[in-house]
Amino acid sequence: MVRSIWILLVCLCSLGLGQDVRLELGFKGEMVAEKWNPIRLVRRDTGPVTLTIEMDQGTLREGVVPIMYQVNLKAARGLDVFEDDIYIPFWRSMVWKVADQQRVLASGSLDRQALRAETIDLIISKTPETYLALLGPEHRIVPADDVLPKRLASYDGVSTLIVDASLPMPSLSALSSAAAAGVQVFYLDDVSATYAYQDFDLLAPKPRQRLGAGWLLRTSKDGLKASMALIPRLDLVAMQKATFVPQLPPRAFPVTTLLMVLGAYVLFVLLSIRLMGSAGLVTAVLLSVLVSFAAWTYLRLPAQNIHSQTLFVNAGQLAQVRSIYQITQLPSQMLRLPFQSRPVSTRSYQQGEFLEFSLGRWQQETLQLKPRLSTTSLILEGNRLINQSQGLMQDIYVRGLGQQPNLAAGQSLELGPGEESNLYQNLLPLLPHGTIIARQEQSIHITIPSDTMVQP
Amino acid sequence: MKALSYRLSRADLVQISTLFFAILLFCIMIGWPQNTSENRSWFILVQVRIVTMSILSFSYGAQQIHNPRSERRLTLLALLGLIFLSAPLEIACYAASFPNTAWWWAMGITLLDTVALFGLGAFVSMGLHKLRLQALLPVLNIVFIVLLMTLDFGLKASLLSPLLAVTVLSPLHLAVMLVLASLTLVWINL
Repeated sequence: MVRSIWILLVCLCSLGLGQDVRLELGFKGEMVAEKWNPIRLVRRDTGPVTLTIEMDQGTLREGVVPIMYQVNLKAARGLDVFEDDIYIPFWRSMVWKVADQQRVLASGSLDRQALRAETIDLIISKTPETYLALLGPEHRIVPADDVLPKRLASYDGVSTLIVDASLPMPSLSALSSAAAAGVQVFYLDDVSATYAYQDFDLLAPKPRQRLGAGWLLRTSKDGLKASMALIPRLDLVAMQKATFVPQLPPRAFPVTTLLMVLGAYVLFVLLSIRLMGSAGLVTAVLLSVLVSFAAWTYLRLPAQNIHSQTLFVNAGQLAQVRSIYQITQLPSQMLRLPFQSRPVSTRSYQQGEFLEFSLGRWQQETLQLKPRLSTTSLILEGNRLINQSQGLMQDIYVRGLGQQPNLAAGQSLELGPGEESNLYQNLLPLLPHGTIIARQEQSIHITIPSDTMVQP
Repeated sequence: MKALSYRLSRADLVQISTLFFAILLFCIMIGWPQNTSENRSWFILVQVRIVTMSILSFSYGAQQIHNPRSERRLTLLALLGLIFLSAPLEIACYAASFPNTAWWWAMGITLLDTVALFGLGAFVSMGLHKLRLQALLPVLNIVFIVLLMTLDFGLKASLLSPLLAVTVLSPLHLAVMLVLASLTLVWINL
């Protein structure tokens, strides 16, 4: 009998039922469409596996437009947690699987109804249901654990994060990343606290301050709804659109010049063959080689051109970095790019450690890179602007004051009245009074005074 | 070299060459983009080039059946020389157009088809002479080339038509033309 039980256990273990594989997409399964969402794969005692998530973002008219997210993971001895972010468009179907070389360990599909475009309000509280009544049904409230992702991109679809000290405080890194991502992080300090949130004071010494593109705020539970409505938000997508200037494909060599050169070549060849006999033929042959070489050298354009624009949104000590790459591909090619990003147009692609997609002849594609966290490059201390980056900041403009002098790396300057300029006319309506905008090569740096409450 | 240069300098080939180059320059003029749009000049030029050379080689091959071996060889070499001398125009368009087709395929297939159709012209001419219909030859030159293209469109395959084969690698077309070219080389040496 005991022997039979042992045999049964060995068989079950060999079937992998002793393994534990769980995938969580979004926050507690709640995803936001057209945003970056966190994924979390928890495994126990598995060999090397591949996580594959397949989505179809096509329509009836377009047909199937598949997107695949795939990562290879090493063997897990004990508990292993893999976390990443994935861009989730509006999809028609979504399936996932975790498989090793022999079999599928876990798989699933998601209901189309689960996909919504509304941003999420994360609540870290023992009684999250009270906030639903407080904030109303127009808010998409998602109760979350105190263990939050530390990556900025995970909060792309989150508008508010509320903590009330009834659960352990999330890590400072997670709170910083959330705020820098554009989230309004509220600490309700009047709720009876089970846990002490002393470290929150390190991050947010004042009742209200900006950090990156978002806010760190203290308020009461009763004042929460009013504060959420009052605190201004930045429209980062609109800001990126306002700063990005698309580049046209390269201009062709002037046709008149080309025809003149080739016409002269043709004339010389015909005359030399007609009039110069075999010497003319030899000369014509040599000239054809020379002209071919010259044509290839002068007419061959760069096969690929990448035009990039990066936007730094600074406030406090942190910045959100959003980059756009525009790729112009002249010969058709399968591209494999070493950064996490997504194509803006509706097309088939594979993401994971690399972005892979095919671009045809003379096609362009715009890629939005995953937003990331960075330290502030341009700091405002009182009325003093400090350039903490490695390069020159130029075209500095302060909304309300005007143009400022250029600022070399490591230098600082006292802000003062300057000339008005229409340099950033598309961007200014999106930014509050007192915002500083500067240019550094292909980057735009926006520094917002950390406690300005004025709406853009 | 001397004989080849003499053959090339004869009035018929000079006139044909002038017309040939004029057609190619016209193709570049109409196909080359004026601004930042896609450059499709190579596709226009390479197809016009191969069809023109096909008609020329077919016509010249048809005229060579009563000529001595040396004349046949020189005429074929002169036509191949014309392809070589017009290469800078194709290379200029290829450099700017970035087609998916390998450059050596278009150049190679143009040379091969010229040889193959030179022999095909000769064989068709021999047939027409046997049927005493040689008067139809000047008209049938172009008709025959169009017939080859129509056949390929009908079969939905690139077999005989140089037009389809020049921009897309076609092993079938390569095989057929290699056979015809081999027969041509045998014939011009007979």
